Amino acid sequence: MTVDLMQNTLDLMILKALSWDAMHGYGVARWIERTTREAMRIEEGSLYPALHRLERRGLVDSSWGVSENNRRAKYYTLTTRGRDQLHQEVRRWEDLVTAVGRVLSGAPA
Amino acid sequence: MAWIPDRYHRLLELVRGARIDDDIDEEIAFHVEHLEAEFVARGMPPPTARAAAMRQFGDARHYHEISRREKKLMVKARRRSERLRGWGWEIRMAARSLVRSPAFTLAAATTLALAIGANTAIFSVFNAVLLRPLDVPELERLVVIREDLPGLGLFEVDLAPAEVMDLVERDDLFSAVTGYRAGSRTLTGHGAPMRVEAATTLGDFAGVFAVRPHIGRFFAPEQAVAGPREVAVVSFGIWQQLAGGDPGFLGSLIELDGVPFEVVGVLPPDFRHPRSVQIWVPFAYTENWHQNRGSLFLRTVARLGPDLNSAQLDAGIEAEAARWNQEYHAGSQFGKELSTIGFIEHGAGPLRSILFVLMGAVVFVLLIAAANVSSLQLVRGVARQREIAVRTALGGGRIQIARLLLFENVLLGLAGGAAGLLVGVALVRLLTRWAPAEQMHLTELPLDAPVLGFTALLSLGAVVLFGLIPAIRTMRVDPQRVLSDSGRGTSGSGARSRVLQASVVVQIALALVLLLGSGLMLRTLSNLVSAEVGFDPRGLVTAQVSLPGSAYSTERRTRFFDELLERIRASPGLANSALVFGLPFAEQTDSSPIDIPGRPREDGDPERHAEARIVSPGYFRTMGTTIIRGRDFDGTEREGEGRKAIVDQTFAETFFPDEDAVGQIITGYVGEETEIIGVVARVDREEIGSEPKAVAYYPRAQLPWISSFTVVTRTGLSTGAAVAQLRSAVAEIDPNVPLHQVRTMSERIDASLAPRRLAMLALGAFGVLSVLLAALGVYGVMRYTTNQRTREIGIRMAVGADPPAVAAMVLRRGLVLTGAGIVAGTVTALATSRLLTGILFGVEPTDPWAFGSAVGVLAAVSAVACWLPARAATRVDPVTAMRSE
Repeated sequence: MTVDLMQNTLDLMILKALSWDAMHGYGVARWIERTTREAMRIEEGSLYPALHRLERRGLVDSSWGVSENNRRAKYYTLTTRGRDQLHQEVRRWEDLVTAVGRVLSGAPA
Repeated sequence: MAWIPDRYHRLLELVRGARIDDDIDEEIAFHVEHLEAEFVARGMPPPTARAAAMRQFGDARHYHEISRREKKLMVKARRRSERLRGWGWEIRMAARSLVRSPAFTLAAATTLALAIGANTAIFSVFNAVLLRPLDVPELERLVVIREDLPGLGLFEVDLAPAEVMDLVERDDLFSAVTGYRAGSRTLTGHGAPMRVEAATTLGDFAGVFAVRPHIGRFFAPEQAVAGPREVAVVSFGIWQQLAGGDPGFLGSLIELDGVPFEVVGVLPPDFRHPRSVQIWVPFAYTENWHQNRGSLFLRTVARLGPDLNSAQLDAGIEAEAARWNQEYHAGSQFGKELSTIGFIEHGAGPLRSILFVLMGAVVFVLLIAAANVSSLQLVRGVARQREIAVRTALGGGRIQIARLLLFENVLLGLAGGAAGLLVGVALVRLLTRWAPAEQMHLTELPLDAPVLGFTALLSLGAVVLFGLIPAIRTMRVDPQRVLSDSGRGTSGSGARSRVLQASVVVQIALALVLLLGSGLMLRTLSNLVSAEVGFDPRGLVTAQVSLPGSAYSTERRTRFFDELLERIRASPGLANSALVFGLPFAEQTDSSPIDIPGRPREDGDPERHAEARIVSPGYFRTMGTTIIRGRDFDGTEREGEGRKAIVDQTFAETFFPDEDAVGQIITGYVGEETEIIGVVARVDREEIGSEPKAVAYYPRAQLPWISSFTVVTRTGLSTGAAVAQLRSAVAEIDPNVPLHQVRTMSERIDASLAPRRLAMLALGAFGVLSVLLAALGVYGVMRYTTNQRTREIGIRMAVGADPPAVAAMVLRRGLVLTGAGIVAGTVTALATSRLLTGILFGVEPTDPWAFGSAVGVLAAVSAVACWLPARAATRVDPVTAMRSE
């Protein structure tokens, strides 16, 4: 359960990161760091299995490109399926948050 | 351009395993170095920055490993889906290509469908009769054991019960042996009395046929000897009929001819042996049977022991027969011999040789279809040369092109096979409806796994044979030559037209053989129908009357039949009636020894035995059999007084070749001196044209113990009216005596012709089909070659050749091919038609009439097939023809 949750959360964050622009793995790591204001610390290496799994599932696509410092880097983009998946996951996440929020703030019935 | 999609390149890139590792390493290195650079930029000393970067990244080797696994999975999945998508695409291409040439596709698929359908139909008969007549495991290990008594002129007869028991003991030869006899009985105890077929079985019937009851059990083999014998096993059908499938039926009583039997088992629905038998009971093997080795009436079937070879079997039964001769028949002239025949072969009877002929014929049909479709492919191949050359030039590999052609042919084969199955089903239905299928017990021809498998195999074979080989020939095209050429496929056209011509010759040759076969069968049938059978079957109605043995004493039997004949003859329209035991085309008669007192048989003299028939006075008049010499029985014959007999021509010629048979004394059926008072014409026995055997007729009055006679009546009444009167005549004497086996004589003769009629119908249909296919083939090829020569014809016409000359040129070419086909066909026919000898009647396999008409029909048909393209050739407009190139 926790593993799944973590895994799903990581996937969700990657999909979200890629929803703005094509990025390489390092870029995704920096985006997550920036956006979570360093609240979430992950081992950055774990991004790569996740990216590759998303690629296998057809949610992201990859191609070689040139990085900001002129090195060869692999860039990932969201596929149409990945975008759909992201929307669904976001909605599920919001539903979950709302539900958990109600539980935590709710008065006794 | 879409020929090799770029997905193949991407695929290749992904497949390389080492590449995967490099890619992942590069990504990880990029990441770590970037982090390190950033830490340095923030002021960390380089060695610390390196360590911090690696810490933040985590276990690189671990992540590498997982990533690698993911990538491998992805490559595999992608490869699979690419392949599927690729195949789907190629199949769509193939289908589109077939749809684009509808004439070709329709012609090829129809040809395939007809040939495959014919094969399916014949194979389903073959399967039902010769492969799986009974659903019994290891059916091929079952043999029928028969007895020959050459001294008595008895051959291939059944065995005596005591002999069956002896064979049961031979467990060194057989794993199970049974002897059985089926007969009609009256079933009572469950509603209205009904006639059922029941079999009494001795030995291990259930073991031989490996039958497991649906419910209950099969009675034990020992019950025939030790009892209780009044137990019965019933068919699934009769269980449903009598008890509605209630399992409580087990243990209940049924009565057969007034004797109660306890039902102990119900057999599964698909077990049907002997045919139409519904009840199986133990044979009552009493001490008397043990002594009696002369009553030969049990059909004996054995399951061969494991690992028994035929030499051991032959030696074993020979030794057994020798023992019997020594122990039981010493001093007699019997000389009993045992022989075996495969159970399946025995059951197929005369149908066997006919089915082999038909299988052969239908293979010919398939070969004609093969030649036809492959020439269609070749012709089409020319039109496609350009397409294929373009594909090759654009980089389509030979593998891809071959695959496209393969898919085309597979689709064609599937369409042909599926349509062929439908054609086959229709043919089988037609066969069971119109052909004399019922008389051959062919009413059920299941489309079971072997039949479907056969059809599938044929379709597959057809694909390879008909389509792929010519297609691959087409594929061997040099793109440069074709494309630089004006577009007409001239390359390799010499070889191609040779192949086409050969295919025409083959088609005509095979069609000739089939036509000849159907001509011969047609003559055979017409000979048989008009054959002299020794009596006049028209207007003869026959029906059997059997008295229950228990209720009638010998004296009462005589009185019953006397009175019956009297009443029948008194009925309006039935004055011309008689009784017979041993009706031709119905019952097998006994062959019994005869002797001529005062003339011992010398070596070289014919064996002294004759078939016995027992008749009432007036029988020959009723049948329309000519009395050649002497006179008929006159009704004054009495038991115990001077015995009389009438013999047939064969008898007279065999035993009294140089003198008048009338007035001679023989020792006849009952072993007493008997005077011959007349000679009658020869009558066919079981089949038209069967080998004549000496026959002696004895008067009914002098053989009073016979309890079953067939009434024959020559009447102008309808069959129904005649039978109604016969029934009431019987019922007036004893309402419990049934009238059965009611048939007209013509029906009986028809039934005996059934296998040959099937052969004629099937061969006739194949003959017509093959001629049509061959004509289509000739037409197609001639049309094609004429088209190829349009330019040449145009030039000829431009320089002054008139249309008739052009037509003659085309025709000549076609007729030369036809002639070659006819010659080849004649040679083939001479070599193969001898196989028909066994089923022909009154016609030689080389019959000039049949040959002549087959050749004539083929020549005429192919002349028309050549004339159409020839006429088209004369309409070539020289200007257009030359410009079109």
